[in-house]
Amino acid sequence: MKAPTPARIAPLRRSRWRRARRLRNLTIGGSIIAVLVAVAILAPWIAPFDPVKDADLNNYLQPPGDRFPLGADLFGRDVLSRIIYGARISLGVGIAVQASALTLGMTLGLLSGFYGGWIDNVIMRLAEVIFAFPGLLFAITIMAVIGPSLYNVFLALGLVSWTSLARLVRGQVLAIRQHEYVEAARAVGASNARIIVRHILPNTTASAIILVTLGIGGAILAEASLSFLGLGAQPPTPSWGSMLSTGRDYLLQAPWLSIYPGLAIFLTVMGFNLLGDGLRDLLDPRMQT
Amino acid sequence: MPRGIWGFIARRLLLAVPVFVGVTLVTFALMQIVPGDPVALLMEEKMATVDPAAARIIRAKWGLDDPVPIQYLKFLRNAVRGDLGISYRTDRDVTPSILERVPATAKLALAALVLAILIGVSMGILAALRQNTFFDSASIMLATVGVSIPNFWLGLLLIYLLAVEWRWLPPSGYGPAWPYLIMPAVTLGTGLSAVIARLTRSSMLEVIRQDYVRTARAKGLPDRRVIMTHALRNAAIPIVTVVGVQMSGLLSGAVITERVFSWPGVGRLLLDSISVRDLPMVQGCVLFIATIFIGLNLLVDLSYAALDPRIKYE
Repeated sequence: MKAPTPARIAPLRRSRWRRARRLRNLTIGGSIIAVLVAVAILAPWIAPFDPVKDADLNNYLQPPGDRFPLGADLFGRDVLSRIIYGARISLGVGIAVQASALTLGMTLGLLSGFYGGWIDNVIMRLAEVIFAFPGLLFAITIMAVIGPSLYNVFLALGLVSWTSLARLVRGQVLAIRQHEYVEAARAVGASNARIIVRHILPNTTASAIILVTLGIGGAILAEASLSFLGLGAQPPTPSWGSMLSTGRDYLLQAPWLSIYPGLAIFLTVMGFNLLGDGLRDLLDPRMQT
Repeated sequence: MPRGIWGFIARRLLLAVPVFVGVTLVTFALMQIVPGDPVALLMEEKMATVDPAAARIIRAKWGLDDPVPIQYLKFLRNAVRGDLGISYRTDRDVTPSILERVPATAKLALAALVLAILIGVSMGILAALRQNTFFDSASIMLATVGVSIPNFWLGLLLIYLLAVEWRWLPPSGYGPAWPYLIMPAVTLGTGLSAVIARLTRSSMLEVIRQDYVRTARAKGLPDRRVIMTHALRNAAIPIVTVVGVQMSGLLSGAVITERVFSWPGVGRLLLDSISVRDLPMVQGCVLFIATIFIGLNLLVDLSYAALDPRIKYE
């Protein structure tokens, strides 16, 4: 097959870009995430206070006002600053979990689909067993055993998250393996590693990107859920989930402790969901629901 | 009943066995990772001192001196018999402690599921029938919000508005379905109803353009009959599949919802046991929930038979 010349690629890219701009979920989701990433990076410059050190009991449960736009918590710390720094934790955990899920899931899915046989059997049975636990329950159990901390959250969610990706990639590899171009590569003497990396891997990336983007939102929600249950980030770390957990006990006196961190989680998860849906519409319209 | 269904059921049941054994193995292995000797830890907490002679007796009684594979086989044998061990904290059998919490969790999960199906399916059907109208756009937006909203936050918002501000419902507690079950069921069911609404809409859009729906209309059947009998039944398979997949979220969500509303179910028992490091109880709750989950997935698979007689169970 003749490779497309740069002159032919350009209009293709332009039309995809034009289509991307028309996809409302992609633009709204992308904008939310862009703002979030900017907030996380610029946290030390835009947060009015230090999220941990600037505690002052004189400001105990101060309602939202001029000094504290989103109120102060029970140690007199600025809720807005803690939410701004919390973006770093949520994004960090979400991206790290999905990066490990991508590495593990993609590798195991490729191996499972390409080699089949006992490798496929072992990997898929393991995935099935992990799948047999309701998602968060497995993470809760791991956290119960290894103890609460942010690093352990990453470990627990990483162990749980690779299964969907491995199944998806395996399914695609099974189909791609039958294509003529794979046969052709084998016929000209390409090694298994080369066939996997050069011919199969690139054809699985679009769906993997979609799943990973949706997965980041899921991982952020899972981290917040674990922290809310007291099994994730521990005080005084400004994690949105643990802020909500504290806020729950003060719902009557200080509803702002629950409302704003929850809103941050909600907007972030919605941003990633919209972005994931948009990417799916753009890259693989057949998967549209 | 379609042909071959009994063979399919038997095969599906057999396939669930290795998954169940895998689940017991993972649960058991996880509990082995816990650092320290559980007997010493427990004695230290309960009596502030460790008596080596007493510790030896307890270790022998609980079988903790056996090699780990033997311990696992005993655990598996007992689990199959419904014996999940004895709680470190209460000295009671784990199984009855879990079983007495089941009605509360079942009530919550069932109410959330019914609510999610009622709202999700009706919203999805209406959105599909009025495609590209304001109702359609609003329902798509609502579904996006519903999928993204963290259930623990939704629960707290409902408590704040309906219990604290407007005083319509009690903030938490366990009692008759009205008024105690309303907020927990809405909290747990919202995410699922959003997923069902999205899928029902896309499923219906596909089905209502099919020839058999056009034929049903051409025969002069009333719209309601065309939608409910001809379209919805055919759109139901992907909906049932997604309900099956979402059971995972429903059971995980139940753990969180029970915490938010102090609902005395299995999820809360699990969290309470984690906080006091009652490992046999944690292990029992996890195994119990995972087994229920395997059973529910089995039911979903079997329900395809009722929905689509064309499916062949070869």
